[in-house]
Amino acid sequence: MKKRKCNRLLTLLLACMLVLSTLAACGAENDTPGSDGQQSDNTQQSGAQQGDGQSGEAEAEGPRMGGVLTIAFPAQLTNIGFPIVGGVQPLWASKPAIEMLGRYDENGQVYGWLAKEILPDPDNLQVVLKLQEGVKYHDGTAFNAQAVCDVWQIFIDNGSASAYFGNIESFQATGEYEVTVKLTDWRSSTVSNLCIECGTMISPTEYNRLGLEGIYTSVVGTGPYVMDSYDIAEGIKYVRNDDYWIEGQPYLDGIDIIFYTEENTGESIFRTGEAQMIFGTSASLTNRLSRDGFEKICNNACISPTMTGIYFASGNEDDPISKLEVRQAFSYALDKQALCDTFAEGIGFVSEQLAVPGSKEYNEAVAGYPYDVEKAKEKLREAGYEEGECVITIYYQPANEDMFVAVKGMLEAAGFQVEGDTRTGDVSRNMYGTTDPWTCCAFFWAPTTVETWHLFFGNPPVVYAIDTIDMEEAGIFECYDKCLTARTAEEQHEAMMELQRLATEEYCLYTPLYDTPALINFSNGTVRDHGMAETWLCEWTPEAIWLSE
Amino acid sequence: MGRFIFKRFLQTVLILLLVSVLAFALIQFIPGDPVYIMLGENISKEYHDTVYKNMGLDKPLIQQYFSWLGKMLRGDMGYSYHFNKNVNELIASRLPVTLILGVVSAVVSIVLGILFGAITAVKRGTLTDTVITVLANIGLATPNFWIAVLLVLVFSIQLKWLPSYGFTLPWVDFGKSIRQMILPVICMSLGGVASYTRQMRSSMLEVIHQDYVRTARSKGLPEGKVLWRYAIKNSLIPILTMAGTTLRGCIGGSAIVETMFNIVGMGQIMVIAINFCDYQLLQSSLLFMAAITCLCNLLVDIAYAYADPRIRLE
Repeated sequence: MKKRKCNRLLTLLLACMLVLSTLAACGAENDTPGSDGQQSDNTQQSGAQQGDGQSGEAEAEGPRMGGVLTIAFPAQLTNIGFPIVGGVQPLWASKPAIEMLGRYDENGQVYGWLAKEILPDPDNLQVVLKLQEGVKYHDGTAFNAQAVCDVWQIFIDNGSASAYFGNIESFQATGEYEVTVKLTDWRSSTVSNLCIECGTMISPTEYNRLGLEGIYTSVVGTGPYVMDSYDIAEGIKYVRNDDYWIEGQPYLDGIDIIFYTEENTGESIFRTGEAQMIFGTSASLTNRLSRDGFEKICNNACISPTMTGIYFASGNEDDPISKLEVRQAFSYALDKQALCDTFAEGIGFVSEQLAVPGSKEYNEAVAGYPYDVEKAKEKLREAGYEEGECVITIYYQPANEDMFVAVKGMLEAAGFQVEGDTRTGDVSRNMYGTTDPWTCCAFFWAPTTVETWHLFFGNPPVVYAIDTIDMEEAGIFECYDKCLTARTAEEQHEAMMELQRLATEEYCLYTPLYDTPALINFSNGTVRDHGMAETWLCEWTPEAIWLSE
Repeated sequence: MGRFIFKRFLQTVLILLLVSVLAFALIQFIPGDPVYIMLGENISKEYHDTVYKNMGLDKPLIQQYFSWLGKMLRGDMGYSYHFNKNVNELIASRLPVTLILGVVSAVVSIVLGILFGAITAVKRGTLTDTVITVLANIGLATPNFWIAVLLVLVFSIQLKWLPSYGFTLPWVDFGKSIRQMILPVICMSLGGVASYTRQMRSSMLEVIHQDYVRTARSKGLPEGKVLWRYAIKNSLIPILTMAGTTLRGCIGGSAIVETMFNIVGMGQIMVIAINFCDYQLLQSSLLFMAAITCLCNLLVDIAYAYADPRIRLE
């Protein structure tokens, strides 16, 4: 009897121990470095977050040679060798090996990289590029003017560059290290199209050897690191390019990019220190890592977050949406901060215009329509509607039912009567090729870039604000055209500011709700001079990167 | 015995044919164009047509099936468009990872399971029996993804003793391989150890009360010899069936454990094939796994019939 009692006691003890060990392990998650949680959004902070003196000392010492930087990456990349077609992830991941003709500076202007001088000449409709001399591809072939022309031709032949070469009449090597591009007309995006969007200088020789399908797995460029191995399921290994064209660089022995499919695995790899950085974290992981004090790399001013908003479009003069006061009342009625807190999972922020505070598109003078129910009611009365008289229909996709319900509640509190419709496809179709009166008020998700404005205000507008107002008369077309054809950065900036004012404030063609970052990376504080998210979404500086520990 | 093997072999062939029909039907049930679903809408028409033709989708259904089956029988498992590789090559490169991990886990499960099972049976009702039985129950009831998370939290993140991901082949770097293997193997074998312990315990309890064991003891044989020669050996027959199941698991891999520890083996390949709609890879690996499973079952049946002649007669 006594023995049995003893056994039961022991069983209980064992079970308690197991529960306690589990709790201890889970609770200890917060004991990671710098758990003060004071990391602010929208800041790219250099230096150690961990507050250890060693890191500070290392920074004072300057770059150290050696070490391998390991980056945990949440995807399996299939087209790293031909990044022009792959979007952000392949372009980012191939950066250690493939360089571009130009880079963006902190003001969003292009400066020369592989093209040491970029000489735009709007008057003579041409751009001349003078290239770095003595640069070699990893396959041993020379990087010269002919190589640049060959690469552009490859992009054009594969249909990847048509959007960027729309105003390019011809291009040719006018010297061993000089390329001259002739234009049909001047566009402010010409230089970035040539040197950034189509500026990824892959090796034409490697392309000719492997063909389109083969090049997807072979990253050969002029970069500071040479691809050592690539496994679509495991990752990419880069090793130092000893023949790199910048003397003394790079500093690391190599860069390993590890692909993971399960985010918990990626988090473990990062938290254990097996990877010093983690790329593209989700909202929940971002919140956890931020809370635990890891270095958040996210500068929204340069990486074009995605804006969630509601656009107004109407071809029917009798529709409430056609009245400016109604659109203004609509915008005042929405508590954007509450919507952001609820739907952006803690990583979003509110902006009252289609631009991020601090970015070149942001107009400080535009206040927008901050949440104010009384003002909303007042505007509705100005438009001639008493409480409950103004009926509007919002189109939304079934997946966004929750957001619609929240918006509906806010609008009804301000005196609107709101109906919902999930036939968004029908609405889009009705907007084209019909002369029947129609109206549309629907959610949109779009990057906060100048290019996005084309959707609203382009000539003709692609979708959103079509016919809501007379764009010509309002001066919006003129303003937008100026943005696209400006010859100088100042000229373009001026036009952008005016466009932002007209579309957002004066005519209230849309209601911005909140922005969510397009890319968030984290570092454990030991990675220095990474250059990530400082000037552009896809940019980082592998040649300058070094590890403090 | 020959008749028994022949019968089982025929059953195996029949099962494989059925699986092949199901695996083939998989691609036919997909609404829309499988090539566009697999490679995305942005591919050129020419590339689409080439892939469509390469996959044999331009032929009548029956012809497609027999052509695919014929290729499979000749050992040509097709092409993975996601991995940009032949499926044969892909499986050949991933199978060793899964095999090593699986075999080590199976050996650990079986050896520890038999050992603990035998101990608990011999020491029935004692403190040792209680402790091991409770632990075995916990091991059985705990899902391995949770164990994986817990192990990584404790041994990788907190103590920093062991790596949390990856796999290195032992002949490439033995030390690294062992370090990387410890956590996944614990994770994969914990449930197995628990199952084998419980099975062995009940099997052994049955055997040690048999007359021939009592006779052996009464003849004055040492206890160790009695247990080893008469009890343990005869308790192993049900373990043999379980070992067959474990063996299948070795080849199939544990998709969860491989994903949690970022190990690219057969399990993860299948997960990727599903995620990226890589149909040829999915079809071929399904059939391959089915073939391996059937082969294992056949081997276990033969071994079982060899160990216990009553099976053959039935």
